[in-house]
Formats: sequence, C-alpha cells, structure tokens
Amino acid sequence: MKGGCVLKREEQEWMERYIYQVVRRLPKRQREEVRMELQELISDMREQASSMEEVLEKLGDPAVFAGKYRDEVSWLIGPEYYDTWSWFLKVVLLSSTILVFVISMIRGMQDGFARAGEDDLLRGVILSCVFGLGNGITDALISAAGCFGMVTLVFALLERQKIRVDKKAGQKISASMGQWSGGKRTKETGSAGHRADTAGGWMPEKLAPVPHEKAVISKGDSIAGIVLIIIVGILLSFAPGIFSVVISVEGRMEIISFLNLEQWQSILPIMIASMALGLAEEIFRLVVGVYCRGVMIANIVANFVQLLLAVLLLKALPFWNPNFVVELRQRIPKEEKIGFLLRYWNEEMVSNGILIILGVITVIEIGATVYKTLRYGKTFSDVIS
Amino acid sequence: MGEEKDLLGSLVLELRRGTLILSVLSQVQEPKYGYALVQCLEEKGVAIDPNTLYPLLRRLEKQGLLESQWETGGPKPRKYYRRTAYGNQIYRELKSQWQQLSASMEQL
Repeated sequence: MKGGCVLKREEQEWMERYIYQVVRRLPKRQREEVRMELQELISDMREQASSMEEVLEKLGDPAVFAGKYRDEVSWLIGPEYYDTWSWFLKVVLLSSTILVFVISMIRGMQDGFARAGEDDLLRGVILSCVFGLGNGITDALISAAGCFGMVTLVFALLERQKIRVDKKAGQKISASMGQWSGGKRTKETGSAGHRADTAGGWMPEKLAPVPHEKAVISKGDSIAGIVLIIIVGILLSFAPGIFSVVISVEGRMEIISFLNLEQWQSILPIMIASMALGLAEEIFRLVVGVYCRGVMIANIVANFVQLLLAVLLLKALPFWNPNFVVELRQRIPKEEKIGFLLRYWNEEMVSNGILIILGVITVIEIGATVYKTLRYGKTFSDVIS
Repeated sequence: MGEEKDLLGSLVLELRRGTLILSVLSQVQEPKYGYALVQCLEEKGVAIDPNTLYPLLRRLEKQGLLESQWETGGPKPRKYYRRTAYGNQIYRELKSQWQQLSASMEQL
C-alpha cells in the first residue's frame, strides 16, 4: 500500500503551497532539508486520508508549524524588560512628540505667514494653520519613530546580551547534571541532586541580598534625566535657532544666532551621539535597577565620553557663530543698547565656562553614583559583574 | 463548562509534553521514518501531531540523541531516524527516571 499512491496535480500544487509557507519562515540552510521531510510526510499522510485538504488541515497553520522548527528566541523585548521598556518609551515619546509638535508647528506657522505676504491677513491665517499643523504632525511622527527605534534598539540589545549570559549558565548546569546522571544510581537522588546544584552555575550562596533601600534605582530618579536629554536633543536638532539674540531693527525682528548654524550638520551628530549615550546609560541603570559595579562603570564611562565630546565640540569644532559680534554691530550702530553683550561676548570664555559647568556636573554625578555604589550597593558588585 | 474543558485540555497537554521525548526515543532503536513513527505511537495509544514530531526529531538529532539518513532506494526518498549510542544511554536514564516518577505518583 505504501508508496503506491501518486498525487494528483492539483494536490501536488496544494502540497507545494503548504510547504512553501512553512519553509519560507525558516533559516535558509534548513529549507531544503525541511522541504524534503515535509514532502515525505504529506504524501505519507495523504495515503491514509481521504483528501489533501484533510491532511493540510491536520497539519495546521504553516506559521505555527514553522515556529516549532525555530528554537531561538522569537521576541524582541521579553517579559523581563517589557515593563521598563514600555515605561521608558512612554516618557520618551510623550516628552519628545509634544515638544517637537509645538516647535515645528510654530516654525510652520511662521513659514505660512511669510508666504502669504503682509497684506492678506486671512490668507496668512489659513496658510499658517495649514503649514503649522502639517509641519507639527509630520515632525512629531518622525521624531516618535526615531525615539521608538532608539529606545527599542537599546532594550533589544540588552535582551540579547542577557540571553547569551543565560545560555552559558544553562550549559554549565546541564553539563554538571549530565555528569551526575551518568555516574549515580537513582537511589542517591537526594544527595546527588544537591551536588548538582553546587557544581552548576547557581547555588544559594550566590543569591544577592535584598538591596538597601537607598541602593535601588527608581524610575523617579531617571525621569528628570531622560526628559532633560530629550528636550535638549530636540531643541538642538529641530530648533537650534532659539539659541540666539532677538533684536528689533527699525520695527523688524532680527535674529542672530550664538551657534554656528552653517556648520550645524557636522556639529549636531556629535551632540546627538552624546545624548544617545546618555539615554543608553539611563536605560542600562533602570534595567539593572540597583547601584552596583556595572552601573558605576557605565556611569563613569558615559559621563567621561560625554565630557570628551563636549571638549571636542567647544574646543576643536566651529561651534560658535564666528560672525556673532560683527553681525550684531552691523545691525545696531548704537552700541550702548547692547554694549553689555558686545563687551563680554568671548567664545573662548563662554566655552571654558560651559566646560567648567559640565565638568562640575560630571564630577557630582559620578561622585553620587560611586558614593551610593560603595556605601549601599557594595554587596552587589561581585554578583552582577 | 467549555472553560473547564479548555483548562483540562491544556493541563493534559502539559502533562503529556514531558513524556513525548521518552516515547519517541523508545521507538527508534531500529531506523524509522517520520510518519511510521506517528502511526506506531498512535497504535500504542500515544497521539502525537506530525507538526510536533518533525521539529522534535530535528531537535533530538541536533542534541546528538538521534541520527538520520535519507533512503533513496524506494519509490520516494525517506528520512530514517535511529538512536545513537549517546541516545541509548540517555534513553535508559530517562526511562528509569520515568519508572521512578510513576512509582511515586502511584503512591499519592
């Protein structure tokens, strides 16, 4: 009986369709082998069944079938990080989209008014509404997508990292279990089982103590930091123009930027990188959840790199508008009005001032982390690192 | 009532899942191909879905418990699985664990 049945062309077609739907979901190197296996299986099953339809129905959804062939993790953010991820995302998305929407809307409205010309008020109002909303919504969506990607990427990397660590620990345990089951009689399960525990990757002594109340990193601690990073990042990327002096010359508004907006495209990426680093560090400290050596090292490294980037920006790159003083003088011949600014504006000095402030902030932040780690979180250092 | 049935169904499934590997290992001392294995187990009262069995066979092969070979002599190519020496050893261990487990369950 076996092997005697030849499939009809139509049935062959259905079989190929089914197999394709399974195989296309598998890694390339497995496909050919699984395709052959399924051909064998389906034609075998067809001999016992009344129709191809019945066979395929019994096999069930090809997506589910393919899922059973895959043994690696099939999620991006697992249950362990999900809560932190969704909380973090809410904070970031809420603060960024609202801010971007407002800034872009204002810029769009200005643009709309400018296009309408000064005489036609109605046209100006309509155009500014259209441009304002259009700009606001588009930019808010773009920034939301960007923030989502950035936050999710960091969490996904953490998830993968954790899985690698888990797998190593798991292998150790199963290896020692194998040793034990190979050599021992079943009667000795009790004592041998205990030995398996101690020889494996985990033992009760390795249990981390419940953290000191002050060693726990709460979401509240991070929220200010995250929102601040987001706000500064968005202002710098969407509205660098606000870092400027606004003066009125003969009834018209004139804007003179402190920053070198002509070179902005080479300056902005460095600032964004620095802020992304800051965000990644916040995520890491939230996920670990307690002051320990790992958090301390991440904090020191992130702060140090950020400070270096700041030095690079302020000292090596054309960060400031080189024509600031000249432009200001041209616009206002009468010096006394802004004499204060003209007299004291000095790039070198401002850069140094900012760097000193950043340096102090860095020292305070690292100091606080180191203090909390050594004072309250010390017992964790050997567990987590 | 329906909910109760669902719950029972999923509990039974959970219970059987652990015994599947043992069941499969028990049947492949001699080379067998996939669908013959399904039928063989079914005859003995162990129902297993092909879409569970095939990935399981693959996994067991990857773990070194089974080895496989394509037979191309017959009317169509067939993949035969059989236990390796390591598979034999694990099977014996697993079986004695099962006997112990079922003896303990009897006493409850």
